[in-house]
Amino acid sequence: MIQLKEVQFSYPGDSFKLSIPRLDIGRSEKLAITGPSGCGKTTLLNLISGISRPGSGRIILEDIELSELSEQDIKDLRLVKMGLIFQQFELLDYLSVLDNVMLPFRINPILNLDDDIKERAFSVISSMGLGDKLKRYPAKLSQGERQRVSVARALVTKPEVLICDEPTANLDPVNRDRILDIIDSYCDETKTTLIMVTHDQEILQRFHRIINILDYSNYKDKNELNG
Amino acid sequence: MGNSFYIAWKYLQFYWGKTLLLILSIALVIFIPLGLNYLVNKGSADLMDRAEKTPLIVGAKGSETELSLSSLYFKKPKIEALEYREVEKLKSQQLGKPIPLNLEYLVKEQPIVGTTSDYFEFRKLQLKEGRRMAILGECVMGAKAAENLNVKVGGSVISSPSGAFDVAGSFPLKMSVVGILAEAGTPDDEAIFTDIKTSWVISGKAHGHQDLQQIENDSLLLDKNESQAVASPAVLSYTEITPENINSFHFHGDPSDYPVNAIIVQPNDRKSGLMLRGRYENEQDAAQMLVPAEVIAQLVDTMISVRDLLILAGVIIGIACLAILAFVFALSIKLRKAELTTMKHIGAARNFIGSVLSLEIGIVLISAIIISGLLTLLMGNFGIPLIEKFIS
Repeated sequence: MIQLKEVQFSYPGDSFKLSIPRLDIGRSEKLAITGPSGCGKTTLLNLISGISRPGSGRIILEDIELSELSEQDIKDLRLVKMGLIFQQFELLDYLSVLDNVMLPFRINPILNLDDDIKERAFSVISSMGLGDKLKRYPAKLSQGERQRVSVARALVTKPEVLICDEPTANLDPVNRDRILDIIDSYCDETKTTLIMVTHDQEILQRFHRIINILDYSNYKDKNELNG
Repeated sequence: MGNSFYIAWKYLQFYWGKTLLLILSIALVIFIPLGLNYLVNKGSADLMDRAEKTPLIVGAKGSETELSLSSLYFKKPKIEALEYREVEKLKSQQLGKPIPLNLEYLVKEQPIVGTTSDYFEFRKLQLKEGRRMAILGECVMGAKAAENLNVKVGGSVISSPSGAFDVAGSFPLKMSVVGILAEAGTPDDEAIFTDIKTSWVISGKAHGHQDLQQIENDSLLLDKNESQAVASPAVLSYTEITPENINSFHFHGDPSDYPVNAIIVQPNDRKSGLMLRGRYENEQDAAQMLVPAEVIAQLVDTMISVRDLLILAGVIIGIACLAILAFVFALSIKLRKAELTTMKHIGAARNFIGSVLSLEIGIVLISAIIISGLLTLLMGNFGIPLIEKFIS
């Protein structure tokens, strides 16, 4: 499903370097990416989702080579095929729960906003236990509820790949498990590929495979040299 | 476009306080030069219109502006009055029709205009109800004056005394309202028209009281013989002219000496007008004749100069305010970086974010322009009377 080949990435003016000779992620695989803060976990997610472009190497998503696409084509692809869940939820304060969930359909005409979408959004929100809070604004929701809205926004487009950047880092264990259960069951039902960055050792048993980003970055060497 | 507008609208709606503040600030920045320009232009046009419809004015020598504004807008004159013989002189010259104006008195805040029926023809004033004044003690109300004083035909109004301690001044006269004029959209709407002789009654030049020869109470008389009787101050003058007492009203002295604040002159033709002006220019007496349009045009020129200065200042302040607003918008975009990045990461189409931001600015600007337009219209409706009041 997703292949990374000879991918090299570094930030301008920084000695940090991410080097991935080969990484294959299969359809409906659940992959956890771990490692200490600052070692490149989010960078890897950004490369897979096309938010960042590698210095060299190839990233292939279902036979589509991302480096051959324009920035807009990558955005379109991301919108259609991927669902993104962020650590800080990244909801728009001025939109209601329903409008936040329907945001992907408003920001790009490649997805059509019609009555079916509204029903789908309502159904996804209800499945998150937020059916009675459609018109609420994020400021009036708890942390757990906000993250559930964020998950609903990612799922409403029926993505083939779900990319999550520490989605439970700011949640208590009850809310953490609830969110992970929702994500797990969605991925199981729809054969969706799940790629999740996490620090949380307690949840690693939920994944098919775990990779440590230290195996691909010079983070350790850099810190040892600095130390 | 629809979705960009939706997001932009939702943002502005959610932060309505900030949005309203921005809209009002921009509206004021636009309104100050725009409204001022409109106000002065409309005010000047109205001033000139009334002045141009008034061919010539005769009054005592002094401020031409004072005489013009007093005659056109019925404000109590701050220059001396002429004698009525000036009207008689103009009549005898037969070069035009003189219309006297006596403007000394008020009913509350509404001016009493002592004049003749010729004034109604001259200004083309139409009666909405009732009739014109025919006898002493009757008056015709301007439309707004009737509204302000809440009087109807058959009612009455009482002239206000000129001063509580002015023992030699006017005394209150109850006047019968016999007609109400249709609204003309001019200062005539605010006035109460009466015959000039009635205005002289108010001034005390004429009065009515009991027949002294019939008085039996000697305490009311200082002296009495077969040929004359001298009343004491205890004899009260009538404060209302009625059919029963109208014959007792009489004028003391020569009516030619009685005061007239201004005389509107309608020359027979252009030549008559020029001749009249020539005669007044050559005369060394106390009267002057002026063309109100020329006087008001000078006043309007001054207003326009002041307006231009104020507009210049407004534009400079406006540019500074718009620079600050641009900075506020830029800062707002910077503060919203995380939100805009989220949209970009999720997959916002090319130009979507740009169009959302542009629409937000556009909605704010268009709303501000609409509000400033409405303020300008309001200014047109309520500001012109203010400017007239201020000038006069």
